[in-house]
This record gives sequence, C-alpha cells and structure tokens, in this order.
Amino acid sequence: MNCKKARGLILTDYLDDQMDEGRKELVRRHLDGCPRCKEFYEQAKKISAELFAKAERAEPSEFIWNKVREAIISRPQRQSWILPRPAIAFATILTLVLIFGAVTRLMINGQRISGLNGGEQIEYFDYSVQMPSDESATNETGFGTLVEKYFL
Amino acid sequence: MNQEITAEIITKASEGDLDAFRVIYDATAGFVYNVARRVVHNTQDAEEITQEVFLVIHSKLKYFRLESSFKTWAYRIAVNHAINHYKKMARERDKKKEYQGYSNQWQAAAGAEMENEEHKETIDSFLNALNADQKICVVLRNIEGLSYRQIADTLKINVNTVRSRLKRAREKLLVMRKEVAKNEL
Repeated sequence: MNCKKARGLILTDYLDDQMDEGRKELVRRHLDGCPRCKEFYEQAKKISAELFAKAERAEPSEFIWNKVREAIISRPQRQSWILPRPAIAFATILTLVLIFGAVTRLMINGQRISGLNGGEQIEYFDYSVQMPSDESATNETGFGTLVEKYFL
Repeated sequence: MNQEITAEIITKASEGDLDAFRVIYDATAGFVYNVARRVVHNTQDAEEITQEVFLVIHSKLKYFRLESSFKTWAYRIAVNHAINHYKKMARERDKKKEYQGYSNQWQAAAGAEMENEEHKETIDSFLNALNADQKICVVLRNIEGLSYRQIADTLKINVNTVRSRLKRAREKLLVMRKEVAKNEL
C-alpha cells in the first residue's frame, strides 16, 4: 500500500472504523513502517475523532414541543370537498346503478325494435318522426317532405 | 424513557392522535435539534428549524412508507431544512471575518485544556470553515455517529460520495490547523 492510498483511507474508513479487519491490518502495517503516515494519522485523529468526541448534545426545550403542538391544533381542518371514503363509495355505487339502468333500458328498446319485421320497423320509425299537421303527406312532384320543400 | 416508534404509533399519529405524535417527537427531537444546531450555529434558528421539521413530519406522516426507516426519513427532513437555512444565511456572511475568528479561537485553545464553552466554539469554528455538504457529513458522522451507509441513505447519495466529502472536509481542517500552527511560530 502506498502513502497516498493509506492517507486516503486514514481520513475516511480507518478513522471511522468502517473497514473490515483484513483491510485494517494492511493500513496498520503501513503505519508501522512509515513514520510520516503515522504522524499524519495522529494529526487526523486529533482533528477528527478527539475534537468531536467531546461535542455536547443539547436537549430541545419543552418550548419547542409547545409551539409545534399549538401549530398543529390551529391548522385548518381538511376542506369539506374532500369526501370521506364511505360517501365516495356510495356515490360510485349509485352512479353505476344509474348507468346500468340506462344501458339496460336502451338494450330493451333495441330488442323491441329488432323484434319487429321490416315493415313494422319502418312504421315504428315513421311513428317516431312527427309530421307537421298542415303539411300533406304527399304532393304532385315529390315525397312531400319539408327538406324537399325548402331545398329542392 | 422514550417509547419506540412502531407502525401503530405512526398510523395513529397520521390520523391525528397528538399523544402518538408526542411519542414520535420525544424519540426524534434530540437529533433533529442537534443537527440543526450544528449546521446553523444558532440556538434560536435551530429551535425554529426544529419546529418547522416537526410540522413537515406531521403533515407528511400519512405518506410515510412503513417499511422504510423512520429515523432516516426524519434525519433527511431535518438535514434539508437545516442546509436550506444555512445556505440562506451563508449568502449574507463575511467569510474572511469568520476565518479570522476561527484562527484566534484555535490559538487561544491550542495546548490548553478547553472549557466546555471554548470547545463548543472551536467545533463550530471548524464546521463553519466547511461547505454545507461537507459540514452535514461531518455532523452526521462525528457527532450523530451514523455509519457511511446511513449517511448515504439520509442524504440520498452514494457511499463513495460520503467518503469523498468526509475526506475533503478533514483535509481542509488539517490544512487550517497547520496554518494556525505556523502563525503561532
């Protein structure tokens, strides 16, 4: 192991005990044989480990909790447009029932029409289209429809 | 003694149970406050940051995935708030004056047994000399005792990036110490 690599490891994994035993041994052997790196390690240990080892940890005051609690309690409640889950479920079911009902009705009407023969179908659609009462059904030249009257 | 933060506590707190949220607060406020304090070097700002962090935690509890580490998640929120605050303040700071202040303090403290207050000031002076990314890695490693993996997970960075930032921070501190030692001579 060369000095550059050893010093890189000293400043990180070796100092922070983040190495496996095998790699630690390699660094130790290098330090045993290199006085300059040994001195480097001593300085690094002083700057890093020993300095922060005496760092105090303060406890937060009860004042902070009181402020947090006050802020939570005074927060506006959720908007009423956000519906609770049971209401959403009910609305969904109701919508599905209505859609199902409408589709079923359309299908029934469709079967009624498809159950008619050709002539009855024409008569059925003709019945659906309301003719104005002052118009004659036919005239001399055409079919007597309003479209013919106004556009032809 | 602090109660452990269980999935049940988190669920209750997310549903509005203030007693359950107090359990969470008691278990995590210590490290949140200390991380904030070490990053911004100001008790009043640290208290403000701590309050903000817990309001964020409270509002986002319902989104927390129970299979994740709550501590890592809380650290992440604390670090983000502290760094944002620090960067905002750093834009207004005079770095030369701070460096001079650090140098004077180190000379006064060198070779002598440090009082608690002086020692605290020296730690703060060292930390002040680092950029935000390096500072937070040093705080999480040297003061909070997190492993490289935990720091990487908290900051959402690679373990090698953690290594690199710690190495650069310590190199910087070594250089500064040598400069001060030279000035003494």
